[in-house]
Amino acid sequence: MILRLLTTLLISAFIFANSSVTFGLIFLLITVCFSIIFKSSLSGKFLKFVIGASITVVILQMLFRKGDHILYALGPMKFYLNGLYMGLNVATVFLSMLFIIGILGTVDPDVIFHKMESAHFPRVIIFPLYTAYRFLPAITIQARVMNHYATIRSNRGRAGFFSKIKLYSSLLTPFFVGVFKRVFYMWLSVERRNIESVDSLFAKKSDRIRVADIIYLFFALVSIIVYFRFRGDLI
Amino acid sequence: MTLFLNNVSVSSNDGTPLIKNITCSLPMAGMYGIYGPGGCGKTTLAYAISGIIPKFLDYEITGTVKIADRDMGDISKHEIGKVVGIVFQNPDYQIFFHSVDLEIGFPISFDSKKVNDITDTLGISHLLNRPSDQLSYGEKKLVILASNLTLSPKAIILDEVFSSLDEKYGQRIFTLLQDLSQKGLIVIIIENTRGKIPRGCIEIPFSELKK
Repeated sequence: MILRLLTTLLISAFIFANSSVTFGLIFLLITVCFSIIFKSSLSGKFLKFVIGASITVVILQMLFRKGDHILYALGPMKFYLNGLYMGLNVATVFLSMLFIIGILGTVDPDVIFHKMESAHFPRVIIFPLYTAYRFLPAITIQARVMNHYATIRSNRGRAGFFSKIKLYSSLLTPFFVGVFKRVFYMWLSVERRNIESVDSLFAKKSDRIRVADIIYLFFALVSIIVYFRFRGDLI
Repeated sequence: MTLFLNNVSVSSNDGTPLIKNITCSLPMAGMYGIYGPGGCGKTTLAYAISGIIPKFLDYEITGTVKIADRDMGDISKHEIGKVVGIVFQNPDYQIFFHSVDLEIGFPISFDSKKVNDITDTLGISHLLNRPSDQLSYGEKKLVILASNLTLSPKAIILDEVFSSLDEKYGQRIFTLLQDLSQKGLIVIIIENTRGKIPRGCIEIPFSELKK
């Protein structure tokens, strides 16, 4: 229900927003709503960051991009209309880009990699990419834990610059060995399962895109279209 | 169904012997529990039986490993899973796919009858649509076991699986393996101590495997 409402809002914004300001505000409102709905997902976290960054960009542009029309004056500070337009322009581009990046956080990665297979990407490219995608979070946690324990054991806070470099170099070797070992065993376990008998690793996942993914993709595409549609007005 | 090890020795690349002169004959399908202290070579033995050594780990191996009258040396590395399955100590080193259904179903089909039968028996059908990252440790081990069993291997090795599972998962796995062993599967359970070998297994101390 909420998703339908938001979709309706965005379409309304697209049709009725006769000024970039109206569109920018509605777009921002929808982004806020999305960040609340998907708050536990990676995209939700992305969006929270995006909202903060977009607002900052708009404010900075209003303050420092001078023009003829002053919107509001507060003592020596003046907020210009031209800056507002430019800020919204930059924020929209920013949102569009991050919407696309955010898809990676919501879409089932097996679907993405199936699409790569369909596009005839060789397995030698898909395998390392998929492995990296699967294990990046685990490896990041491992690096953090290692760093944390090294800090506790060495009292690094008081160490000098060169001691810190030495400490980090000593951490890198076990870290890379750990990563290599993990990747090796994972490849091994899939290779021994008759991998040569299949043409596609992800074939059966082709039609398993979730509704949330479709909506997300839709918003990403619409935001790009809208940007190009209103670009002239904004600049 | 037989498993036969004749004078198997494994040494690492620098020549360090890891296991020496292991000879063992498991004459029929059933559940076998091999136990021995840490560092005695149980995992190396598991890798040797499962063909990981020398197909994937480039260690030097001598002697013969035969499962169901097939010499492991003659089987290609892509076919090994159809002869012998293995569940590692750490399931995080073994799960490849993001989705549980793909992990279990690969390479047959994630929606095949066999996958459904195995997941139903293990009680993990509800996990099929979940990302593998979100599973508990016990659930991951069940998923790995299921993924091995979908290939219908002749033998399966569980390397310190029971010692890290709670009673619920342990019992579930044991019941399934017992059923499968009665249908012809050789099940080898490797543990640190005798006490961790589930009841009903034929117990074999690792020290008795040495010639």
